[in-house]
Order: sequence, then C-alpha cells, then structure tokens
Amino acid sequence: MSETMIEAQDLTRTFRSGFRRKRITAVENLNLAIQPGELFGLVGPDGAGKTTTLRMLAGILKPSSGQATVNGHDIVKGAEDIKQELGYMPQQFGLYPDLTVDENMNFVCDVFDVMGEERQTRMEELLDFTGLHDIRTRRGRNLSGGMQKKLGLAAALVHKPKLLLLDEPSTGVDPVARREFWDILTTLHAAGSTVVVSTPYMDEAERCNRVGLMYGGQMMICDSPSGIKRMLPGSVLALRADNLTLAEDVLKQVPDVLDVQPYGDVLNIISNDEAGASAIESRLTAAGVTVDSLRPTPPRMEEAFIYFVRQYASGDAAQAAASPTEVTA
Amino acid sequence: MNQRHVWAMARKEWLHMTRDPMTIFLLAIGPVLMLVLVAYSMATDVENVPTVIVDHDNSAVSTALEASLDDTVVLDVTGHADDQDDAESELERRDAKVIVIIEDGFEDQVTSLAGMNDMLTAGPRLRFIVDGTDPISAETAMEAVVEESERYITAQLQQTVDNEAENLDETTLAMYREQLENPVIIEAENRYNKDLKAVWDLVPALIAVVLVLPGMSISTVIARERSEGTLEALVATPISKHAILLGKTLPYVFVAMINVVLMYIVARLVFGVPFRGNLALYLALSSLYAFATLAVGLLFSILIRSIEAALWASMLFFLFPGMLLSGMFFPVEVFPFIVKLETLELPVVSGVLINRGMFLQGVGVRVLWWNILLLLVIAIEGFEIASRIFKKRIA
Repeated sequence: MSETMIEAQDLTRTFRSGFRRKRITAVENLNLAIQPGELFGLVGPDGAGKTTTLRMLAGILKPSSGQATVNGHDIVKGAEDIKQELGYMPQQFGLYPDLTVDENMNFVCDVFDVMGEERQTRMEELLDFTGLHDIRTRRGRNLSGGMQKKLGLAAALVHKPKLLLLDEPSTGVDPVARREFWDILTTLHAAGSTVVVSTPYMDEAERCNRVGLMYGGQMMICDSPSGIKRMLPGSVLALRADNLTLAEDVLKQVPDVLDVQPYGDVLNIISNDEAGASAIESRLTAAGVTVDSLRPTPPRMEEAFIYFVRQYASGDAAQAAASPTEVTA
Repeated sequence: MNQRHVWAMARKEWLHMTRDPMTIFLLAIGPVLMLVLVAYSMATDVENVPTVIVDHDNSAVSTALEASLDDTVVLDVTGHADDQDDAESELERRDAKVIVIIEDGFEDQVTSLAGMNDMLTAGPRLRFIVDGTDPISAETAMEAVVEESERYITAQLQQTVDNEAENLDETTLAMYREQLENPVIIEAENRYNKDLKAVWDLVPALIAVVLVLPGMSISTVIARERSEGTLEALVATPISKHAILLGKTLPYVFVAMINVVLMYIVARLVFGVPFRGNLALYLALSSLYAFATLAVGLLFSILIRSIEAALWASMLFFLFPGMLLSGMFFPVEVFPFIVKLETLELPVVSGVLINRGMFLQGVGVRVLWWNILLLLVIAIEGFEIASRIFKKRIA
C-alpha cells in the first residue's frame, strides 16, 4: 500500500449532455497527490469540476480515462474497498428528510456495521461533537441548513473513516454555523484525519494546509495558501477614493496594473512592482479622482483566486467557450 | 449479501412508508377498496369450449350425439376419457370445461319405446358437468350442451315413434306424439360454482389484479432516492446492491401480504366466496406472486430515472395489460398467439389462475405447478436483472 492517500493521474471525465449529446469535459487530465493527514481544499469557480473530482475519488463515478487510487485502492476496481474506509458527504443533503436524526444515524451505523456498545458511544460522541444532541428526534427536513450539514458530517464519521471527502459542506450555511463547522474540521485534522474539502469560500481555503485551484476541469495551481499568494505577481495596493467607478476605468488603462478588484469601498489593485504607488496615484489624480489613501496590503487568497481565475478565463477564452462550464450541479 | 444490511434497508424503507400516513393507508387499504368497488365483469363471446366425452354406451347413437355436439359453434370435442374421474382431472387442469357422460343404455333409451318410457320416468342416461369458475363461458357452454342434446334426443325419439307408429293404437300414438312436444329435460351439473355466481369468479381474479398496486408503488423507490439526492450518499457506503434492492422490496412484500389477508377476509365474509384450497399454500403462493410483481416494479424503478416516468411506465405495464390481459375478463385462451406469449411475462396471469384455482377449485401444486414455475422465474430473473443493471454509482 502506498504512502499517499490520494493519487490521481490524468484523471478525465466527460459527459454527454443535451439534445445533441454534446460532449462536455468536466475534469481533464487531473493530476493530484494528497498525503495522509492533509487538510486539502479544492477551490474553483462553479463548474470547475470539483464535484466530479470528488465523486470519482469516492468511487461513485467512473473516470472516462486516467486513473486514481485512494488509500491504495483503484477507484474503479477497488471502489467498494474505498467505500469501507471513506466518509463522503455530498453537496446536497444526503440523508433522509422524513427520518429523524437518530433514525438516520442508526441507518448509517447499520450500513457501516457499527454495532452494539460501540454504536452507542460513537453516536453520543458525534452528536455531542456536532451539537445535534438536543434535536435527535427531529426529522431531517425540519433541520436548518447548518444542522443538516452537521448531520451529514456526523453520518460520514460513524465508522472513523481514514479519509473524509466533503463537497461544499458549508455552502448555504450561516457564518456562525460555518465557523463551527470548520472548527470541527480543524479538530478532525488535528486528530490526524485526511480531509479533502471543496469550497467556494476563500476564507475557508485559507484554513487548509494545501489548496488546489481548479478551472475548466483542470488543476491549475496546487500549493499551500501562502505559496499561492506568493505566486501572485507584483503587489496589492488598497485604494480608497471618492469615485471608485471612475478609478477602476482609469486603472484598467494602466499597462502595469494587472488586475483591479472592487471590494466594498476599497479597490484592490494588483500591480507590477515597477508601477509604484506614487505613479498610480498621479494617474488617478490627473483623471480627477480624489485619492483618500493608497497603500500596500498583504494579499489574501481572495485576490489570488480572482486574479488567477481571470487570467485563465482571458487566457483560454476560446477554449473555455468550447468547453462550457455548467457541468457540476 | 449481508443480512443485517438487508434488514437495515428494509427497516428504513418501512419508516418511509409509515412516516406518511396517506401512503400507508393507500397501500394497505387501496387494493381492498378496489376489490369492493369493481363489481361487474364484461361479457364475451364464447366459442370452442373444450369438451371431453366419457362414452360408456359406445353405440352409433352416442357417436352421432358426439358429432352433433362437436358441430356446434360453442363446443369443441377435444377428447375422450375412460371414466368420470379421468375426465374430472382434465377439468381440474382446465384442459376441459365441459364433461359429457353417456351411460350404458343410452342407445336403447332413444331407439325403443320401452327405452323412451324409461327415459321419461328415470331421466336420460346422459349427464353433463360444467366448469363454473368462469361463469360467462360456463353458462354459454351449459346452454349449448343441453340444447343440442335435447334437440338430438327429440329428433331420435321422433324417428323411433314414427317407426313404431303402425304397431300402436291411435291413443297411445297420440300420447307419445304429445310427449315429444315437450322435450326431455336434462340437468347439467355445475362444478365449483354451482350458482354460477359471477362474483365468485370475479373476486379471486380481482385479488390478483389489484395486487399490481404495490408493484406500481415500488417502481418509484430508486427514482425517489435519486431525486431527493440521497442515492449519492447511499451508493458511497459499503452496503451491497443486493442488500439495497432486497431491503427495499421486503416491506412491499409485507404490505402486499396485508392486502392479501384483508382481501381474503372481504372475499369470504362480504362476497361469500368459498375457499376450497389449502390456506397456508395460498399465502405462500400469494407472497411469491407479490414478489414476482414487485421484482418487475423494481426493474422499472432502476431503468427509469424520474419518478413520473417510472410511475407512468409501470402504469402502462401493470394497469392496462394487468386488467385486460390478466384473464379476468377475457379468458387467456382467446388471445392471439403473440399476445399469449406476452402474457407469460405478466405475473398477473398466473396470479389470476392461482387465485381462481385455490378459491373455487381447491386445487394445489399438482395442478398449478406451471404457473408457480412461471412466477418463480419472473421473481428470480426480475430480481437478478435488476441487481445486474443497478450500479452503485451515480452516472
């Protein structure tokens, strides 16, 4: 058995879709290696292929070509072995809305052969851990979005899986529940579990030890959050000014400005080092923008993510048009 | 296959059913309501009813009678039997629907005046037994056999009297001729359903027909998991696909058996239908029938991805052929060959025969083995194909 928890080589999945059975590539030649104990974040815009990737790794979707192993098992031939050791949480609420928390948990325990006393202690533990203890007789459909996600996580954990695959576990959840959810994940990670989580939120990507950025079915960048931020060329300047709309238009004409990202009442400017803050400020003032402040700010995943996605979108606009992105749902 | 997983799945499915009071109400009571509501059957033209002859007389007259019975549109002499027991076993197997027994001395009765006197006092040496499980064809067949025999006997006697006319005095001849105006009365005995009550025949058949309802409702179970998004999580667990499918089927078999018991009680108490078979065997065969129907429903459930489409497909399969081709209204024998072939894969055809056979005829495995075998094949093959098609994947 290999040391690596997940290893994918040239993993590709295409679908035929629509009336003309047009071929759509959801994941293309994906290469990936995830070590035991990692908290790995899969990020990317909608339709980047995150869900398809996770489904293939969970052994519930056959790749069109390429291969991958999970904990040493081939994802096609060893799919059932993977399922013994895996906790998988789909994007949609995967448990039964007409069953209570307890009934859902009991069913999952049955299926994973968690029996007798072990089941009792494990269920108590997980319901405490996820804070569902007081609502164990409530039906699935009457749980809030956040509680449903926690129930889904608790269900994925009954058999103490070696690997957790979580597909956007915090989408549609309020910020407090989201924070609680991530505290749980961090606890699991600290306890040595391998966790792969897909997310559209950059603050969550920031909490992972490594992040893979997917775009158009391909893995564009795979590095630690700080590594990714270092890959951002130039520096980030935060601009506060009276007319941000005008400022944005002006800045887009400046060759040294790589990207401009409005962010509330701040405009984040990614610029080449050569174009100093003073040069930019004078251009803005000349155009009639009153600059309140313009100072360097440490880049966040947010800026890096938007910058890279825009790069790919413009870089392979022609290619992107050929492979529509509305694949995962 | 892990037995605990099967039970876990069955328990879960049972919870789904009972969670929604309307579903369990409709599933458990619906078929009984249908049984009570459907009251009338349809009339059909009856032709070529298989008739078996037991000829103890072995005379020119008996042979001529057989020929004239065979000449009728309704009857078709398909064979001869050595004795009544032999003939009755043909009736049981449904190879024949009418038995004509010609006793020794029948020739005498119609060819001599002494015999004629004997016939008029002791009745003709001729008996009929008609299978009453299918009242429409039974009634027609009975009418035909009685009418044709009476016509034949009257014609024979006419000739006999004419032949003897010169040896008789005026008054005696007039008396004989007068007697010939009123034909001989022959009683036909009706087996299984003495009063030819249509309801006796209809109710057992209906029990089989309405049991397609659980089959229809199971056709949505996989589509429902798919549309609710729960299938994705389920197939990512180690539960085997056999356990998923069997676990999903068992609660429906249970509900079908509740239906059977309720309908049995209604048939006996409300409609007064007799039950002449072995009750334990009947329950066993009913669960086999339910399982076969459910296996077909399950197959639809796997093949068709949306709830609506699965429901429509199972309706088209179960409801219309299930009603019209079941043999409840039209005997299966009247269908063209190709349709007959199709009825082989309809569990309901065997279900109807088993129900009628056990309620009215009181027959057992010895007679019903072919239909039992068909149901076994449908149940096992249906389930096997279902589990081969079903993949523990999402696409």
